[in-house]
Parts: sequence; structure tokens; C-alpha cells
Amino acid sequence: MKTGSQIHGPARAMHKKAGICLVLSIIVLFISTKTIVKVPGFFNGYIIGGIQKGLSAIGSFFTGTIGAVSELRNIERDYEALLEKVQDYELKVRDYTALREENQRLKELLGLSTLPDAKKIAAHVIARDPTNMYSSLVIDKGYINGIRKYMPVVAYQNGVEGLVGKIIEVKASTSILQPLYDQRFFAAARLAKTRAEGMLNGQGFRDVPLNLLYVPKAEADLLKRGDIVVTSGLDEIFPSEIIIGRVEDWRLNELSSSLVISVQPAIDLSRIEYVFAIDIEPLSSPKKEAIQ
Amino acid sequence: MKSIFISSIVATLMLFIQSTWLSRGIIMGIIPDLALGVLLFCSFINREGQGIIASFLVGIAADILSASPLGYYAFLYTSCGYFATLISYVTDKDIFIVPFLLGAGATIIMALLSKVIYLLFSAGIHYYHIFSMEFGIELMLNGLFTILLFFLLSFIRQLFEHNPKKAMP
Repeated sequence: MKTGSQIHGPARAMHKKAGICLVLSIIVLFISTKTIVKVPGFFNGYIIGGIQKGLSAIGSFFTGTIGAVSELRNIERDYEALLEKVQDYELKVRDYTALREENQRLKELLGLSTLPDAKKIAAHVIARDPTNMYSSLVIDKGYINGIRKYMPVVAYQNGVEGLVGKIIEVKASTSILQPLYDQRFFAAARLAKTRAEGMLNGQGFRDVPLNLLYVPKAEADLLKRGDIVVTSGLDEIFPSEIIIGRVEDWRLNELSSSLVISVQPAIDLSRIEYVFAIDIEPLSSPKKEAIQ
Repeated sequence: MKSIFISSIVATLMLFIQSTWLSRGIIMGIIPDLALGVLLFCSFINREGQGIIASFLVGIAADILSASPLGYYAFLYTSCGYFATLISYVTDKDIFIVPFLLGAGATIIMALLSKVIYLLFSAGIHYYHIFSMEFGIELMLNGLFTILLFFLLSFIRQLFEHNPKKAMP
């Protein structure tokens, strides 16, 4: 333990520095929560994005190298088994291609194709938020690639196209994406079966289900576990009918007039590597044929 | 000046590592705050407040890397740096107890202050759920990683010290 006389010398300078830094932080915070503070574009857009891309590439290289050694052992064993399977699959692929083409034609005829006119920009997830408080993801595409703020982002997993989140910050070559489990994420959603509408909200953690709020209480009798939840398009950020997830559970509060439904996301965001930002401008602009 | 510069560089590098290599977390997706550990070390060994300035600078870097509003992590890290410097006046560094309490204590301070900032500013501010399991895991991880960082950084302590002859706590 130290004596009081030891404390007074440097302590005054320390308190002064702490005071200045804390006041500065508060001032900056006050400004940034009221107005958008623009960090110089070059520093923000290129240097940070470059470092994140570099570290991501180094990480991938080492992971790939270490993984390759153990993978070689398995490859030889699997190779023989796969050769036999390939012959079977060749036949199946022919059938599949024919069915796919037919399916696409039928979809177009029925007008059910998901986002047929939307332009999708593929991006790689290169980093995540450095701390646990925020849950943003960083993708390797920025405004030079056509990414804009509030673009909806989807991904494909196990043959399902599911909602991932929206773009909240765009830099030159990277962008920050707010995933749907973020506690500040909101999206207009509806139950695919009953068409009941609600507001989707994240809980802040990847493993915690999302909440679908403000669904009328009367829907409780029609609900079933596994019902699909999709975007309703009413918020004008997300196009309608993008799959969000499935109903896991629901709560009835006697004092409230609405249900709280737990939704398990369709996309496992802990495994996500590639995403697609959707440029919905082509969707919102009316077609000439439609006007005529 | 040298200690502020080196501490800021090392802690910012830790932020990049957290956002890339450790982005999937260690336990239940929770990422240990290595940058906080470095800043606590620098604040603890520099009683004149160099660690506090480094905390402010690294906080700004964290705000740029994160989706948080500018100034958010600057405030939280500065407060933690201030806390560590104050603690250095009343106790000496040991191998286990003090680093663990510093890491865990700083995490609790960040949680409490994040709630205060949320109440004051609200727009786009996130805060910790103090009674959640995730927070408990983060508390433990930060405490344990602070022990590890204090141990490793003690070998290159002179790089982080403002004046090695006078600043020994």
C-alpha cells in the first residue's frame, strides 16, 4: 500500500488528463449521436479496410495451411468413395438441370420468382465488430462497388435465401452490415401462412432467437411451431417475402394486446461467409410495360 | 509520448485481431477484450496518466472500427484507463489477483457506463445486459486474458513506461 505523500505529485496531472479525455469523449459522443461525423475518407475507407482485408487473408492462409495437412489424410479415403458416387450423380444432374429450367420457367410465368429484377452484389464477410457490445459485420465491398446505406442483405444457406441484415455504414471498399440479431435491428415482418404482421427485433446475440412483436393476440390459435416468417415490405427497406426464419415459441401477456413470437433465423449467422446486398432500386422503379 | 504511441499501436492491433481472427469468439461467441487488457497494463504502470490518453485514442479507433457512435468506446476505455491508474496508487502489481480484478472490474465499469450513456444519448447506443450469461462469460474472459497480457507485457514493460526510472508503481 502506498502513502498519501506518494500520491499527490503525479496524481494531479493524471486527474487533469483523465478529465480532459473524458470531457472530449462526451463532446465527440454528443456530436456523433446528433450528426454524422465524417472521418476522412481515405483513412476510413482504404487504410482500415486494407488492414482488415490483410489480416483476414493472413488468417485464412494459416487456417488453410494447417487444415490442409489433416485434410490430405481424409481426401485419399474419400476419393475412392466419391468416384463411385460421381457416376450416379452424372445421371441425376441431367434430370436436375431439366427440372430446374422447367421450374424457372414456371416461376416466371406465375410471377413468384424472388426478387427477379433486383441487382445483387456479392460480398465476403471479412471482419466482425471488435467487441461484444455491437454485433456488426464488415464486408469487402463499398461504395465503389455500388453498395449504398440501408441496402438489404441476404445469404444462401442449405438452399434457402434468408435475410441477414442491412447496410448501416458505407466506406470506399468496405461496408458495415447490421445483422438481424442486433438489438437495434428492426424490420417489418409477417407470418407467411396467416399473413399477420409484426415488427421483428434482434436480441443482441447470435444464439438468442429474434422477437416478432406486435402480432395480434388472436393469432395465437393459428400459430404452429415451424411457421415461416417473411419480410412484409412495409418498411420500404426490405423487399417483401424474404425468408427471415421459423417460429420457435410465443408468449402471451395478459395485459398486452399483442403476442411476442420467438423466431429462429433461417440463416446461421455464425457460419456466414458470403452475402448479397440487394439493390432494390430496379424493383421500386415502375416498369414501362406496367405503365402502358 | 513513446508509451502513449506504443500502447495505442499495440492496443489497436489487438482490436484488429479481435475483429478478424477472434471474430467467432472463444466461448459462446464471446470475444475477449485484448485491447482493454493492453490499456489497463499501460494505465497501471504509468501513474501520470499516459495510459488514459492511450485509452482515449484507442477508444476512437474502436469507434471507427465498430458500429458504435464516435466517442462511445473513447469514453468507456478512458474511464477504464482512469480506473486502472487510480488503482495503481493504492496497490502494487502482482501476478494473478490484481490483473484479474482490473480486467473484471473494467468490464463491470464498461457495462455500468454503457447503460448511463444509453440513458443519456439513446440514439444507436448499445449497452450490456449485466445479468446475462454472456456478460458473465465476458467478465471471466477479460479477467483471465488480462492476467495473461499483464504477464506477457511485463517482459517488454520498458516500452510501455513513460519514464522507467520514476514511473515504477
